[in-house]
Amino acid sequence: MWTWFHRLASPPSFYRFADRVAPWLAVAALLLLGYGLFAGLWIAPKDYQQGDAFRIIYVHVPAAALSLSLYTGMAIAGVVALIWRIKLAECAIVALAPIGASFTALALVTGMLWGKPMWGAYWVWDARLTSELVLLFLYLGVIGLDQAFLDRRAAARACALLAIVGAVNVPIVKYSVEWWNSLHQASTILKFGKPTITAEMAIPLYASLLGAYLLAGMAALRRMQNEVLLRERRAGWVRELTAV
Amino acid sequence: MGEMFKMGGYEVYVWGSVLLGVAVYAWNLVAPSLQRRAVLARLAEGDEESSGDAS
Amino acid sequence: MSAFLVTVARELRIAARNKASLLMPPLFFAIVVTLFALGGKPGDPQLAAVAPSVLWVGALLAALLTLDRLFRGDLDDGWLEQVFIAPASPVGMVLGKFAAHWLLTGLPLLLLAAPLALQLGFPSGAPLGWLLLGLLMGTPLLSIVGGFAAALTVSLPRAGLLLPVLVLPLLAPVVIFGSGAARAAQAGLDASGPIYFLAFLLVLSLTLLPWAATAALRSAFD
Repeated sequence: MWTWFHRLASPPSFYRFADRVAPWLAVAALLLLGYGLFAGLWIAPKDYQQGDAFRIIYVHVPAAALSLSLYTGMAIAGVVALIWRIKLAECAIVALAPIGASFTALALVTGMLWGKPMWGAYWVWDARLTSELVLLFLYLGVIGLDQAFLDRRAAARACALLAIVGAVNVPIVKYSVEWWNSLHQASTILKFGKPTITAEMAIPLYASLLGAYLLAGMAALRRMQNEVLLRERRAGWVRELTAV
Repeated sequence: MGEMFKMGGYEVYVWGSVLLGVAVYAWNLVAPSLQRRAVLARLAEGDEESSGDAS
Repeated sequence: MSAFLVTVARELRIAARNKASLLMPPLFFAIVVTLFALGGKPGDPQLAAVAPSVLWVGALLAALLTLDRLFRGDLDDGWLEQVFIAPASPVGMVLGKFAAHWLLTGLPLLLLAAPLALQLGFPSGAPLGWLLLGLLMGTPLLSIVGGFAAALTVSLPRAGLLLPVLVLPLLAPVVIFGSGAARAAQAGLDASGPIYFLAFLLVLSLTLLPWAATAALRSAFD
């Protein structure tokens, strides 16, 4: 197990591993997302309170879940990069930021499109919405900081520190609905034991969630490969690879 | 079928969200490859520079 | 501890040499708040309603002004490198820098906040007390969180625009709870909840950020 892990952590074998895995992830993600959207939009019954507007959930919830998961992943990669100085973890921080930013923006905009018919306003300065907006700014801060450095290692170290400090915001986003009286509705799916929606509604949602995670995983692997290439440009295996 | 597209009067919000969602999924699918192309172009340039230094 | 005191003393000495630049953040704060008052209708009661957020954002922007230079000079003249080579803990030095920044920028802003609040029509008495208590805990946070961001960008020649982008989202909770406490007090509600949250944030950042800032400064030399 450990030897396998160590071999994977070396840049050339990671590069080959990602090359093998990423296409499958992409295919699986597209199938799941396609099924999730189709079943969510056509097959799932209307919500008795929200009517058809609830179907926004099939885009909004995966995006919101990913916005938090990717930031958590980025902060964990930051800790690993700072303590063990693993190069791949450094690459992961920089790779996850743009993906996370895109899903955070999606969660915010679909939330606005959901809020307009349900609450009568696109935006309210509520704890959940505000902290999610701060999350987007944190992602953009990491991206900006990364771009500002020429040296890739210095960039990764600065981004790691910023990601770790910004992680304070993650529990605030997650529990804002419970800590403050929020207009935002509480989570419908993550209550294990007694889900509050029917299977016909829930299964497409799980499919979309899984599909979005796989898609983000694919994008993360590809972006990490790019970062590895940039860093290892002097190494023999990269020269062989790019010489073709 | 037509009724499905009307989404009970919420069609702008539902289809708007779906469209944006698909756009973000597509971007995440394509953007890493575009970045790859940019990186490879940069590496090719860098190699020319370093070989220029050597000569 | 001694590294802390030595750093504070050094910062105060440097500041005493350049008294005009000491006045800039409070002056900026006063001008921003005055412009808000001038932009509104004279005697508009709504001004008092937005006074907490105007004061907090004004203090935040004024504190930002000086952050860019917090570690830059020390990096350029080699003092920072000396500190990291010296046997004393660099964390003491970083804490000293933060404390000196608060003494030189945060404290004047805090002192200026009361007259400016009254100028905006903010009620005196208990609400003003809560506003100032919030600022008393919030201004050190501006120095600590801002100082951390300044340490992250110290080796970047042009961090001027990046720095606010990094600092402002990290400080969003501080502004929300700080002005939230003042607004609650203004409405006659109990303001202790947001103040406790500010105290929690202060303790949290005081225990974590000096170390994070030290790590960031150290990587500027590698």
